[in-house]
Amino acid sequence: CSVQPLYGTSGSATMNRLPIEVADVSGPDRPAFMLRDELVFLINGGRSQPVGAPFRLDIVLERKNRVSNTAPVADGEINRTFAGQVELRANYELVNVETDEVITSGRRRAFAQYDRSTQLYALRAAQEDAEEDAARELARIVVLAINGKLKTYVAPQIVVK
Amino acid sequence: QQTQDTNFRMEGDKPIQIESDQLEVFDQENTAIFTGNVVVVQGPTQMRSNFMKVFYSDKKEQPSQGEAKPASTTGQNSSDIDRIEVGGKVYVNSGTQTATGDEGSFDMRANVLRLTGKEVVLSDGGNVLTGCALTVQTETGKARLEACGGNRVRMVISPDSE
Amino acid sequence: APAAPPPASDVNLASALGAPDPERMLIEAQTLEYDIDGGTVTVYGAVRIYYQGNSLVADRVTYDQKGRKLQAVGNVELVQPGGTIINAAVLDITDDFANGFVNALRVTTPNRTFFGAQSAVRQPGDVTIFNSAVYTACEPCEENPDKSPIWRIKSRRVIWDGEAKTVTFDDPTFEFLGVPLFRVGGFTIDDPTVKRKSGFLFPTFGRSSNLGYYFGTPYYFALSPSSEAIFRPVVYSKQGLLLSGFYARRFANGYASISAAGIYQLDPDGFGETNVSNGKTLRGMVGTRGQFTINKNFIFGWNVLAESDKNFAKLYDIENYTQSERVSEVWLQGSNDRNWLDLRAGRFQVQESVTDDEISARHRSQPWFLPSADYRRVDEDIAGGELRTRVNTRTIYRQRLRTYDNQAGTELIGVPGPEGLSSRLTAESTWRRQLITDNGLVVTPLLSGRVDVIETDFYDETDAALATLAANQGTSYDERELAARGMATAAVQVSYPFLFSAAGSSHVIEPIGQIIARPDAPYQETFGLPNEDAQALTFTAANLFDIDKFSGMDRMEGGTRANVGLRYVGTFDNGWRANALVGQSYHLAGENPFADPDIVKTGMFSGLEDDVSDVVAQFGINTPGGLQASFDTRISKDDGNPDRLAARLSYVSDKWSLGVGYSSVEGQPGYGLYERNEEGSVAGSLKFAEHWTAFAKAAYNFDQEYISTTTTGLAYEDSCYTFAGGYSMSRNDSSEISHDFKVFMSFRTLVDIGEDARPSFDQ
Repeated sequence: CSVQPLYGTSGSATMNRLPIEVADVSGPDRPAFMLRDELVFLINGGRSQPVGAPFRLDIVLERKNRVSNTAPVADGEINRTFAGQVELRANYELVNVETDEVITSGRRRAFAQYDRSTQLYALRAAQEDAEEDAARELARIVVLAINGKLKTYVAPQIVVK
Repeated sequence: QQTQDTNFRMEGDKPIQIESDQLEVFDQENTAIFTGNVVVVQGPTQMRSNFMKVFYSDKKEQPSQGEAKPASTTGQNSSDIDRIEVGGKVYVNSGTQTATGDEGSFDMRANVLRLTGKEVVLSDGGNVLTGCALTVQTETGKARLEACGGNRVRMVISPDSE
Repeated sequence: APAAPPPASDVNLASALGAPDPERMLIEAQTLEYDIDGGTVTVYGAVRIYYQGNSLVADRVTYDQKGRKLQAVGNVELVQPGGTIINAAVLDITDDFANGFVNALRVTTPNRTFFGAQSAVRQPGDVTIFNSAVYTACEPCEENPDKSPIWRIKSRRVIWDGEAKTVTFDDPTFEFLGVPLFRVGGFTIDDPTVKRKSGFLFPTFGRSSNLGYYFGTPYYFALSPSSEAIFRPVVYSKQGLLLSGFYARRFANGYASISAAGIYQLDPDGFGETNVSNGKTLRGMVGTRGQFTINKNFIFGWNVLAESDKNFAKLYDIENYTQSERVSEVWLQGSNDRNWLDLRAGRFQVQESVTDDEISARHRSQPWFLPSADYRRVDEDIAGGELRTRVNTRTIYRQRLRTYDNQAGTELIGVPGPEGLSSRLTAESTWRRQLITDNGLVVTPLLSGRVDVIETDFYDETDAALATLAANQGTSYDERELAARGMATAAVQVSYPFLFSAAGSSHVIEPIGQIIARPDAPYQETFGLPNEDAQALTFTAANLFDIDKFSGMDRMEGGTRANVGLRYVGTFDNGWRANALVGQSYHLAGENPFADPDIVKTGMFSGLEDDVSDVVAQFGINTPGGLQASFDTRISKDDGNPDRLAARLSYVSDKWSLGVGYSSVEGQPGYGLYERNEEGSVAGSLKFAEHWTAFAKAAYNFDQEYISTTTTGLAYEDSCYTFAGGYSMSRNDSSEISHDFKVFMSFRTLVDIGEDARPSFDQ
């Protein structure tokens, strides 16, 4: 099997930074926003987003929130589900805008956990922060996955008739 | 308004003109056989084929005897003809209507044109009909097309055609 | 001389016959009679006609070309471009198939709903009027199509408007299993995809210890295509008549609804001394919810519940308002590209049965949050990187002090709810850039500056409690009416992703190192600053590389820290997808914020409190075949045991499904759980016969040695009708065990009734 730096240009023609437009992510508002925000940074490294990029990344985001571990907690000795888990699932497609060909697609998941405080304002903050952490980790995973594929992708020559 | 529908009619009392490369006449059978680029014209109706056999009614006079040379009989009155049989890439045209087939026959008495073949095609303005046996009542303008074997009759109608 | 005969190919019959050109009508049959003069065509014997996307099949068709009328007789089937299928005995129709008269027909719409009628007339505007018609969504059964479907609606007339997408029934009768259940006034349902009809909803019945036996018959009003109402009287054997109503209205850009309910309790003293419902006669609630899209970027909404006492809506099961932990708030949320705004104000509510003076009462110590805002903005291409600006403000008011002691009750160990007012305004800007060198090294420098202004106004009792708590944690409490603090951060992350391409798979492995240099967070060693939005800290792989690991901005991470990790992304040609991350965090210099004193000891049990942190890891794998597995864990650096673990395995197929889950949390006496808690859950379903599925779900708590929830049930599902009955027992937050039986019925395209108890399988 062959080993090479994912982003290295030595030995292969791909540029380091392939222009990919990140389409609006469809899914629950807040995590979808955070996922797209991190994806745009990881793809453009802070420079402005490309206009008319040859590749487009379409993502549908699903969120699952589970609570578990019902047990007496320190605050108030009441029985309470103490542990919260967030799972974010991205169904993504990298599309060649010119030919509409799907270069790669897949389903990737990222997880985060939070403690379910008895103070509900703190609980909501913890859950939103966990969702943001999972969304940003999911962005890192998706970027590595699509760049792994783009490395070996040779765009079909579009013969202009 | 398109020309009056003629429906391949052959009027009995109108002159009929027949041309062909060769002509053979058989008096005792009251028949004549035209072969090679046969063309029959009567009024707006015209029929073409490679071979045509004409059956005359017995009391009339027939075209000149025997020579198998380009013959044309004009002025012949079609009322003397009982029936015509044609073969070999038959093409019948009358006004906007055209029909093609492999063999055919035209019964002057009953005014029935019959065409058969692997693919009989009748086109009338924008409508194109295909089948394998076509019968046209030239008097009433009623055509009947039948399919044979597995395949079926087809008709393609263009929206603008009348 | 007459023209040469046109060779047959000129007339391109092949193309005319092969691909039917939509502009021309193609007729195929056994026999064709063509009246050339009259312009009429009669075809019979397996007739097939294609025209403008319509395809018609019949025994015999007469087509009057001049009159442009078509009459099809015998086994007529017309398939229209949209996919609608009309079966009829006789079909008189114009030749563009738009209007005409149909006789003894059956229509199948694109989403598999069926109309049957004696006769029907199609009129301009894609309107079809069926006379003495039957409507159902049940697939006709192949063996004998005349068997009556599970449900259908018979009505004198049905008007199906294809353009307005509405189906109107004139005096319909609803038939279930062939039995006419009830006659309903005329009603309109939107085109078969929308589920609304007037009439009685499924009655509610049951028994509860304090309220006695109850029976309710809700009635649904479909007032107009965009508004509806439900009137829900419920009679309780012990407490009398509950009247509750609900009205909802749909607008072009949103919806709004209002609910109100009230009861005069006949047996107010039947609840018991410590029950908040005890001694009350007149009780009621008003609740309203709504959401409107202002423009493509902003949404405005509200969800407010006001009730006579804190447990009414939950006790009397007022739909949409039964949650035990809920929030009443008004909010505005918007986003545009990478900019975000969230503005909201409201109050958290706990619906609990204990009176306020009980130790476990929580409602009054839940906070009001007055206008709180989170604004984020990103400017790209600033010195080659992005500049992120964030302004975050919150104001919290709490009516009642909330503290708790250790398990023995001998020492105050937490003050999660100070009484009084505190507010914070934070402005933070962060610059970061990602550079990739030629040989593939990824370098991400980051600079960040932040300023907070914090105002606190606690009651004396709270100040005293905070002073005691500070002493218990070996520090002091400085009352700070107004405080300002700042932070400056410089960080760099370096990672070197490698691509391993094997025969049927490719793997990316990315080693990552991150160093964050910062001064200590001000005022951290003593008490004095409030902590409302950063009380919970859970260190897992997801926040390993966070610049500030606290869950809110009330706590600020200081000190110099290094985070190290390895990320793996696997892609397999057979469709399997796997990804993983493992890492550890090191406190290099300065004050470790996670070991600092805190009003709820946030961080002290998080695994970050020592110089070397616990190890965190997460892994996920999914396969196209329906199998997926994952785990997310934090492993103690001291004894190697998982202090936190959430693991899942599930397999979903159409025949059977199974989901297994496990979750364990180490004890955190000062902060959360008294002792270690493990819980397992399993859910399974088996399709044991066509249409029939059995399902079961259970969660077992190893430490409490009881089953926290179980659900078992049976479901029937076919093309038009779904029934799911589930019995579930659960031990909810306040350890009351509740049993209930959930019935769910769905008449596809018509209405759904009840609550679907079927579990989802990726447990």
